[in-house]
Amino acid sequence: MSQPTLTITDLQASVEDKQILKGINLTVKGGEIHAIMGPNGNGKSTLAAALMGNPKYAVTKGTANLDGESLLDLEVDERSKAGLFLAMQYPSEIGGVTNSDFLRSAVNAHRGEGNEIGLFPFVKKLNQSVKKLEMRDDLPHRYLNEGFSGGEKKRNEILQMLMLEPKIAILDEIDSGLDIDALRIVGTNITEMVKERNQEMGVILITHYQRLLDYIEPDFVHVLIDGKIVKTGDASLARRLETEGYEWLKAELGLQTLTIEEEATTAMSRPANIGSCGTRQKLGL
Amino acid sequence: MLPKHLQAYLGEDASLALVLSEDCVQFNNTPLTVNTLGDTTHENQAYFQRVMQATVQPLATYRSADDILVVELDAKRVVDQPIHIIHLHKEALFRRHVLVIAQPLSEMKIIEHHLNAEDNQPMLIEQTLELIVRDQAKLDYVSFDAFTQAAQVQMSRFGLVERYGELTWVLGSLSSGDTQTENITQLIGEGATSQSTLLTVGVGLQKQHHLVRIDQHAAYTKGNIINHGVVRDQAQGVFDGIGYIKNGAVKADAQQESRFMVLDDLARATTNPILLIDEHDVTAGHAASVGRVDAETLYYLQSRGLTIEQAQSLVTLGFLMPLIETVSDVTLREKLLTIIETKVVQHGA
Repeated sequence: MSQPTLTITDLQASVEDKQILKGINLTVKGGEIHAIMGPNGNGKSTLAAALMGNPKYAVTKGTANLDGESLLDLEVDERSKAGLFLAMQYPSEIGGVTNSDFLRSAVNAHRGEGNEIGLFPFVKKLNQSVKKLEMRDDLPHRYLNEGFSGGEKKRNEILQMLMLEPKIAILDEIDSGLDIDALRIVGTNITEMVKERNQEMGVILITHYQRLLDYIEPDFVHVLIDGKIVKTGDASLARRLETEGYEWLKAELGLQTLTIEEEATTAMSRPANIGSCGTRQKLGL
Repeated sequence: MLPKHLQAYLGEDASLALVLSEDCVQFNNTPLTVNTLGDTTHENQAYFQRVMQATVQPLATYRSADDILVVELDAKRVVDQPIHIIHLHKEALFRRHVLVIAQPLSEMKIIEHHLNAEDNQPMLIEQTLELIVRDQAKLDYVSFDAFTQAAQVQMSRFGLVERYGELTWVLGSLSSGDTQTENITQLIGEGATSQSTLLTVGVGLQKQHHLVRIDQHAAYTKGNIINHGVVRDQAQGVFDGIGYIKNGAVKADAQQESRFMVLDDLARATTNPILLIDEHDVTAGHAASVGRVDAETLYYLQSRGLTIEQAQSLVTLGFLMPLIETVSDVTLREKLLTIIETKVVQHGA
């Protein structure tokens, strides 16, 4: 089997005419785990959304190719079928659609007409995955994400990854909202899947914290500040960021950013909104 | 015995059926008594007179007593198997008036089917249906119609529930021609309850108006209305949901939820949630919405490989699914699902 390669070159993207990504260069190969870290509102989630094709984000420059095929020319569903997967920070809740119906539609969309998965292989694989993730037995019959706790939603994203077997998986803050047990389960499952698939899957892990990296050893750690990857290192970089924060790095690179105090004041003056993410914060929305 | 094609249509398990065509009535093992109103018992006739005076809104404007078919289940009879009432429509103008009585302490489930002989024949379907649920009786009534756009449909349904009786309506309005329905339930006895569920899918140039009303005359009555509709193409839909708690109906509870999902730019939908309350000591609530499929939701499903059309269909079916699941008969549920899938998924009806 082949080793996939995702090549991102000078990727620039904006949301509501505000430029967020200012030239991302990154190559991810099958078997590799890349962690992307960085302060809130610097473009981590935007990178994920721009790659997947979220209609709210406009790519203004650059390329992103998966095995030589330009992802940016494809519709969202075609990107998925090409092998890209995004575990979302805020998965949608969809009433009336059971997990198993949804997953079967998704798996079959990937396999294509005439090559649909049989009911028994599907159920077997689904049950195995549910067990691996230590999820509730009735999960297949529950409506998609409806009434799920934060942790259940995140595990359900990983379940979809197990079922769809992507070439490149982007996991956007998969650790937020997870308690310590769920963190271990999610972390070990990701690591196992990368190992089992033997260079057929690469992972981009977007995270704030080192704690998820206790269970997933990244090969590369990238720091994304102000729309650019400013530093790349190995797992030790993540550990240093965890203990010392980003200030030393900004100082080392001579970056002009808001001081922590200023950030705190802007945060106070902003009205609370549900589901606010880094980009919205950055825009002061 | 039922004709083979009807047995096949209803499924092997269906054993109780009443087949009504223009000129004849056929029974199959039904535990029901069937009469015209003129021929029914004096007791029943006297009762109807009383009922008509007791309710503010008469049950329906009676035509000649011989045109009304009375279908009756004896007191204390409990029938577990669903009873199928099949209307065979052959003629262009079709009027029918059926009155169903569940006598005290009886229980039954009725599934009503409308079948037409020729698919694209222009037709006018006019049906009046009355359901009377007497003291502590239970009646589950499921009715659906799926005529082509050539048929105009007018359904008037009335329910009357006495002390601690329970009337459940599940109405699937799945025809593709202009459709008007009114579904009015009077809860006249203490503790009477009614649950009304209506689902519809509007396609093409179809216009639809559905009125669902529950009047609560007595104490401890409970009325719950749920309407879910989908409109696509250039279809138009209106839901009027009316919960009316009359003076003296203490501790009554009136709830309603009316929602429309709009799939295309030129489709239109309106919901009018109305609560009329003439008593202090009651509980009531309503929810209403008209909206498109959420863009985030579509993006989420697309990111899993579904095309935008597949995603849209999945969400739309999901919107109606909880209502379809209230139908307990498996054969019927599958049938409804197939009809709904076709209507939701097909393009340019």
